[in-house]
Amino acid sequence: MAPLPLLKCPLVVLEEIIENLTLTERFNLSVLSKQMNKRLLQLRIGKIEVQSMKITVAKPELQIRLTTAQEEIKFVIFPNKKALIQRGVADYILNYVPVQCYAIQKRNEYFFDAPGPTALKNSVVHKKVANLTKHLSRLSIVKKAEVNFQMNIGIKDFMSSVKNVENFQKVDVLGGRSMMFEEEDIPFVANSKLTTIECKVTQLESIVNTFLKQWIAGNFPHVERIDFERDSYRRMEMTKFFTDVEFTPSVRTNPLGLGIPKRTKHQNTVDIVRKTDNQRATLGYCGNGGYATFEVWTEEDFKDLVIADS
Amino acid sequence: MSSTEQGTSSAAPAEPTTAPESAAAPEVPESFYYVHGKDKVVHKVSAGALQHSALIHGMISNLGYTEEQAKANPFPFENIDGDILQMVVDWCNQHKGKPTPPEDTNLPKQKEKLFDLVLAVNYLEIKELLTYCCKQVAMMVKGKSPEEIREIWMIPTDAEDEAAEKEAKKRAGKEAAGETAAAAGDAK
Repeated sequence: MAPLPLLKCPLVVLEEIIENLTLTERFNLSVLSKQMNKRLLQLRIGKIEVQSMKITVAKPELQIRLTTAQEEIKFVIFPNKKALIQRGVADYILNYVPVQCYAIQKRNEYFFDAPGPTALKNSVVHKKVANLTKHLSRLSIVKKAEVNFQMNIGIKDFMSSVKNVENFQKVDVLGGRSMMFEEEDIPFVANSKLTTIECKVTQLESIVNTFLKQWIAGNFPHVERIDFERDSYRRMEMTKFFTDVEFTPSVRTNPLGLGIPKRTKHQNTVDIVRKTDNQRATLGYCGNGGYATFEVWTEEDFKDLVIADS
Repeated sequence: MSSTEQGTSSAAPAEPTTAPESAAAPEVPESFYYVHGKDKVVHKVSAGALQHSALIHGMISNLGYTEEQAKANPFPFENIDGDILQMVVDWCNQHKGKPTPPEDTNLPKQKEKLFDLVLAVNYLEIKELLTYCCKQVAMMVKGKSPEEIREIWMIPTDAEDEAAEKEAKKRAGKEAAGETAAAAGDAK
């Protein structure tokens, strides 16, 4: 087939052609040159809808997977070039704009090396994630994002590098025992669109208390559920959860019954009401300490309650 | 249905009176217009077929030509190659009075000329054919790597772009210097 000088096409034609491309194809096109990238971003074309963006932060690699209606695309960031070579992909490392230094193994898989002594904690990785997510956000709209921490690199530091999180409709951060949630992370999460969080905390009582007070005051508007797990065993002083917090014993017939981790046994459940909009939530915690789960009521929960009352 | 007045086309000439559309509505005689491309070969096309082209349809509506006037004044499209115009005329004739189906098998197959075809179709404002052609262009890079896309769509590298920009600046500088010198000569 004879080549076709794309950039010589009139604007309307260029827009019609690009409309027919998938996210992978648009991404591949955007990294060919500065000029091509600039033209692409100037076009009046619809962004591709990404149904889910899954970010997994693990050793030795960080993965970003995007799922659209047509395809799945994977971006992998390695801590160093050696790891790339071991994966057999270093023979095709390219220096493209705007995402520097990446290699392609398959059509939908992109590999980046981010050298640095502290592996995935370093700023090089954060910068790469920032560049990549910023660029992807220009080509696509992410409907739901899930960040899974399998190593502790700090929720605030990492999430700050994921660009355009504020534009995502729903963001889950899942860390389990791997992700530490500190007091300093609370203001960041409070103003973010994070909806589901699984995390480990050192001061369970004070974190839960601060969180509850802020939620009642109207912060954390997007949070649907948080699973807090204490990082080491010690007896909890549960009363400290509720310092300056009004609560009532839970009226829900099956509080926290769905979606709760099986390991968790909530011996106690209380309901909390946000006065600004009468939104309700339930906090469940176990007697000897270790876990606490906060879950905002859904419309279904309210309906169930009405049925039970009648 | 289409006929080529001067001979390069292999399409069999057919009189408009034999067209099935005419049989369906005999009381309205079909009007014909004439177009030619760069090669000056004149193509006779029915008004119904030309409705696909917003540009020609607009011209026809504004001019109000009679058949004789239309024959004497074929629409000139000097920027379109003759074979490309033939392809477009054939497509318009095949789709006269009916919408294009999603899977259109009567479409131009000559992919080597896709770029010229796209430009012509865009110029003539034939929306449905343009949509199809753009899909075909997009299909060219299905499953291709960035480097393959670069080759297929002739995307210059940053270095090539920079070199071209430098060259353009150099040329513009020379031209400006030439104009200044000419103006100085005139002043003397």
